[in-house]
Amino acid sequence: MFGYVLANASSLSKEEKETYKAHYCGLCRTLRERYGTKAIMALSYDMVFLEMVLSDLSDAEETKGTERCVPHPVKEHGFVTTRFTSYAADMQMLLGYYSLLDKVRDDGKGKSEEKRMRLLLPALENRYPRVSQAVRKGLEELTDKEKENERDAQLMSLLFGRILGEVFVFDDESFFRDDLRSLGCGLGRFIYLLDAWCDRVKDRRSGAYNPLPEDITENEVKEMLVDAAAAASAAFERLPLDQHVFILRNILYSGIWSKFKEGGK
Amino acid sequence: MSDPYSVLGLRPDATDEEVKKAYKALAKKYHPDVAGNSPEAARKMQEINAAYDQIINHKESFSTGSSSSYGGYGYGYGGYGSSREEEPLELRAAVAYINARRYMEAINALRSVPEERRTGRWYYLSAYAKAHTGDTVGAERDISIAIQKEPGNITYLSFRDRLLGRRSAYQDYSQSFGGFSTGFFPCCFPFFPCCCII
Repeated sequence: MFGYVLANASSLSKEEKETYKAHYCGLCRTLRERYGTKAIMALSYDMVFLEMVLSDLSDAEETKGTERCVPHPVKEHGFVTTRFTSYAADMQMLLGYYSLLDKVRDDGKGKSEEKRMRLLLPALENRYPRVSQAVRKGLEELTDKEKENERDAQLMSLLFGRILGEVFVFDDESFFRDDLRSLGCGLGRFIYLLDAWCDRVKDRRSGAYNPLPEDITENEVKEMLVDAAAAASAAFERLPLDQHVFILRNILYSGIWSKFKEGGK
Repeated sequence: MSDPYSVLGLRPDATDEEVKKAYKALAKKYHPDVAGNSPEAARKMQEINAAYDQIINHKESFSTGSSSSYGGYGYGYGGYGSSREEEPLELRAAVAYINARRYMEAINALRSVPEERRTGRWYYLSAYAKAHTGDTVGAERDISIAIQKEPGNITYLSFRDRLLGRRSAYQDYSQSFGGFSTGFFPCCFPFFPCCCII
């Protein structure tokens, strides 16, 4: 999707890097298995984070293996999958479809891709009615507000946050659904604002919609981002996680900021 | 309800990490997939959930308006108690949703109260529900209005402190990872085989 929710590798141990990488490769592999080689175009770190949170929360059984894959045919590497990897892969495709649709609408590129991916929708909607409806309706609302040139960036980010919040709730009966929803919502707000911040110059130039005020400073954006990240982290710390908690904290408290610094330039 | 730590088989000085581990171990034991659908296991599971919630969330526990701001949270335990009669009728649904941890429904129920009848209490409930769905911006706005309406209300003031405190707690903890600005690889992680290709 956006790929903002990733680790800060420089402060991970060698083992943690291996684990993180194996989950990444597990998601990649599952995407290829379920949707074909081309599907890895949609692969992003955001869904690796989701998979690792859900797996840790349920102590999900892991399937481990090694493979040589299409992108990396030479070097053999390890992968890990759990029962949440396929969920993360499906969510990746669902969100990937709408982000592609957005691109088609904005600059007319990727029409044939969009047609092909659209065929996947009925099965996803069937399998995840609550989530897919929240994604579709939420994104429609965002598009409408964009057309109206809504200037409240916090409101826009919240609408996006609500969407990701639903995606994080794998099971709406779970005791932890609210904390997962808050975690997803905070991250969604963060992603939306950071994306707007990184795209602001490009958007100004092309006349595309951007929710941030033209004269917004780096500090003002940072304050909004800290609030969103703090909301996500507060919910995260309430979850009983113990397996991947160091990697996940690295992402939440550090890694998610990596593109803020780049985008500020 | 008995002491939440003993429900989880822990000493009262157990750390949050120990609480989380103990919770997971017990939750696995009484999970319907393992224990079957016995009412005994379901009751035990409820107890474990409530104990976990009481320990991990106690700092943020919901004040029901009665004298005690602690322990009014135990959904499924009638933890709401004496203040029920004091609650204005139109807020009762929202409070019930909050006690059942159905925050989105609580927000919807609150919306049905017309603006001119929105009291400090209304704004507090709204802030509380919003904070628990990840909308901390809306929560902050609402709690400020609640405080304006009832400046001396300790519950509202301490709720705002907790809300704002999260941000500094987050920033403090981020520092232990070297802050926001150091040690990032510019485009991709050299050790990641995949990320340059996609």
